[in-house]
Amino acid sequence: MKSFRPSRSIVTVVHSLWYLGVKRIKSPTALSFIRVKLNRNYNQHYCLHCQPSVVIQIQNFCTTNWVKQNEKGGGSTVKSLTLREEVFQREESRNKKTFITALESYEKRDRLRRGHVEFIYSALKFMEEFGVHKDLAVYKKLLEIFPKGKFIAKNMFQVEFMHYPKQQQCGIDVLDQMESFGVMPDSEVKEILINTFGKQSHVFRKYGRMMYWMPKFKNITPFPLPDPLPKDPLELAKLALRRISVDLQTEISEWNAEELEDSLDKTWIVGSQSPLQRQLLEQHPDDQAVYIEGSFIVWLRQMAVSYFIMRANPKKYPAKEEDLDDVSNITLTMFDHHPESKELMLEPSIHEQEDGTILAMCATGTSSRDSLLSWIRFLQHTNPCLKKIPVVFTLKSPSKELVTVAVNEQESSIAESQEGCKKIPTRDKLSNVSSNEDSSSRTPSKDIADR
Amino acid sequence: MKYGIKELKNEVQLWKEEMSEKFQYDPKVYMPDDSEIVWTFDTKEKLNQWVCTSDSDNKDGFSHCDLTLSKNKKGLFSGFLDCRVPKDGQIKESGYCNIRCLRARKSFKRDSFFDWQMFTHLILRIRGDGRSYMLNLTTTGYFDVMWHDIYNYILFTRGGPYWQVAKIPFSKFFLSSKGRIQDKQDPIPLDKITNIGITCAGKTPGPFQLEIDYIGVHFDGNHTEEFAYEMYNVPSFIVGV
Repeated sequence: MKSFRPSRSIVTVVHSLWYLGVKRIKSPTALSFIRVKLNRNYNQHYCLHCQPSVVIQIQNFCTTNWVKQNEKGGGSTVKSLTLREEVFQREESRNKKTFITALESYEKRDRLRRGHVEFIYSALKFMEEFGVHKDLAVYKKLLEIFPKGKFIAKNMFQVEFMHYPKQQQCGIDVLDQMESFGVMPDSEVKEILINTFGKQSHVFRKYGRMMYWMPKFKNITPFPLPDPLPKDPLELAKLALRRISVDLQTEISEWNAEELEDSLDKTWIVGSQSPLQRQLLEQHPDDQAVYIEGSFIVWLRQMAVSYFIMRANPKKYPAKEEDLDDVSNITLTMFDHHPESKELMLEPSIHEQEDGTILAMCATGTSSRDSLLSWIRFLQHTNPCLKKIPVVFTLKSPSKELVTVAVNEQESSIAESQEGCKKIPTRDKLSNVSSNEDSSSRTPSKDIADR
Repeated sequence: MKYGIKELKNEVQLWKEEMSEKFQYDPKVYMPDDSEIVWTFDTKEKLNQWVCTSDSDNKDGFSHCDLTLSKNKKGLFSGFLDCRVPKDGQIKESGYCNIRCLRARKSFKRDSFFDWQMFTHLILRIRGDGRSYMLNLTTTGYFDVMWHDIYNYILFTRGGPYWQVAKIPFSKFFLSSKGRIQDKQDPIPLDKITNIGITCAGKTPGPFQLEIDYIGVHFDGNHTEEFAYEMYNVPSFIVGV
C-alpha cells in the first residue's frame, strides 16, 4: 500500500479546524495529543482508494479505538493510550452500576464524543458480561451517546444514500442486540432515535419493524413461563413438572429426603401425580414391573431441568375388526330380536400412551438413584400398592457425553469434563450415576430390583 | 444403464397413474374436521425423503444433528446445538439445525407443488423437549427474488413424556426471505408450497430432540381468519426497499 502524504494546505486546514475545537478543552496537553494522532491516522487511513476530502479526514479521526487515559495516582500524570474495551475490562465488579459509570465517564471525558461508534460497539460486546443485556434503561443510555441532530438527513438524496452510514449501522446494531435478547423498545427510544437520526433513517425503520413484530410475537406461546425465571432449582423443577403434566388434576408434591433416616442424598424431591394415575397404579397387576426411566430434559427458556418418569408397559386393547358391510346377519328389531350386546370399555385416559402408561413423574436435587429411591418411599404413603409392585430402574444421563459449551471466546475446545454445560443448572451429578455399578452402598430391600 | 431403465419404468408407471387420475376426475372432497396425513415417519425409506443439515455443514458453526428412527418407530430429530461462532470475521451469530423434506414431484422428476387449498391448519403430532422450533413452508417462486420465500411460524413444544398435537392455522404464517421478515406481507399461497422444514435454532446451546409421529393438514370449518398480520399504508421508498 503506497503511503500518501497529503499536501501541506490540507494539513493546515484540518489542524486549524481541530484547533477550533481544541480551544475549549481545558487541559493543555490535548493539543499535543492530537498532533500525535494526526501523523498516525494519516498513515493508517490514507490509501489510493480513499478520497482525500476534508470531511472524510475528520470522520477518520473519529474512527479511533484508542483513548487517552490519565492513570490514577498522586501527582504524576502519566498518559497512556488504552483500548476502549479496557474501559470495561478494568471494572472490578460486573454489574449495572459500574457499566453505567463507564458510559458516563466516556460522556464526561469528551464533549465532542470522538470515537463514539467504536465505544458503543465495545459496550455492546460487554453488556452480557455485566448482566445488563436485557435492561432497556441501559440501552437508552447507550443510544444517548450518539450526538444529537448531526445525523438527520436534510434532503432525499441523503435519505436514499444512508446519511452517516457507519453511525446508522451502529444504531441498527444496538437495536439488533435489543431484538435478539427480546427487549422491546418504547416511545422514549423513538424520541431518541428521531432526535439523533431522523424519521427517514434506516435506524428508525428498524425501530418501526421491531414495534410491529415484537408485540405480535411476545405472547404467542401456549406454555407461558414467568419472566424472569426463578433461579432456585426447586422452583424451576416445580414449574417444569407443572408444564409437563397434561392432566389438570395433577398434584405437585414436595418432599425432602432428610425426613428418611436411611437415605444418603439429603435433597429435595418434587413429584407429580394425579388421582387418575393413582387409580391406574392401583389397577396395575402386582407381578408386573414398573420402570423408572430418566433422566430426560425439559427446557424452560434457557434453563434445562432433568426429570424422571415411572412407566408401566402399555395396555393392549384388543382390536376388534368389524365389517360394517356384512349383511349376512342383520338383527330384525321390528320382530323383537335384540341385537348382540357389544363390548363396552372406558376411553383410555391421557396417561395411557402407545409406549407406556405414565404413572408418576419427579425431579430431584441430585438426580441420583438414591434420591429416586427416596421418591419411591414417599410415594408409598399415597400409593400403598407400590410396596408390592417390583420397581426397575433404567437410568441414563440425558446426553451421551458431557460437553463444555464455550461461552467465552477464549475457550474453544470441546472436552469431556465433569463440570458439565454452563447453562444447565447444577444438577450434574449424573456422571456419578450408572445403571450397572451403583456406588451407593445401600442394601436394596426385597421389593426393589436393580437391572 | 440398467439403473436408468429401472428408473424409466418407475416414472412411466407414475405417469400412467397420473393420467388415469386425470381422466377419472374424482377429486377428494374434504368435510369440516377432516385431516389428511401427508408425512409419517415409520420406516427408513420415509426418513430418506428428508434432508438433515446443520450449521457445521455450511461451515457456519459446530452443531450436529440427525434424523433417525426412534424405538417407538417414530422419527427422531435430535442433536446438539452449539452457539459458538467460528472465527472468520464475518459470522455474527451461529447455531442452527434443520430438516427439510424433498421437493414435491410429478412423474419424470418434474417439480410440483403441494396443493393444500382445501385445508386451514397444519397439524403435527410431536413429542418435544420444551424448546421452540421454527416451521418453514417454502414456496419457491419462478423468479429469482422469490427463490428463498419461506413462510414461517413457531412450533412450541410442551416437553415431557406426553404426545402433543400442534394445530397451526395457515393464516398465521408470515413471509420471510433469506432469514429476514419481509415488510410487505401476504397470506400463504396454499397451492404453491414446495417444501416443509423444521429448524432448531436459538441462543441456548445444548442437546435437543423432537420426536415426530406425523405431519398432516386439517380442515377446520370454524376458522375464518384469512391473514393474521394487518398491513398499513406507508411511504413508498421507506418500507419494502
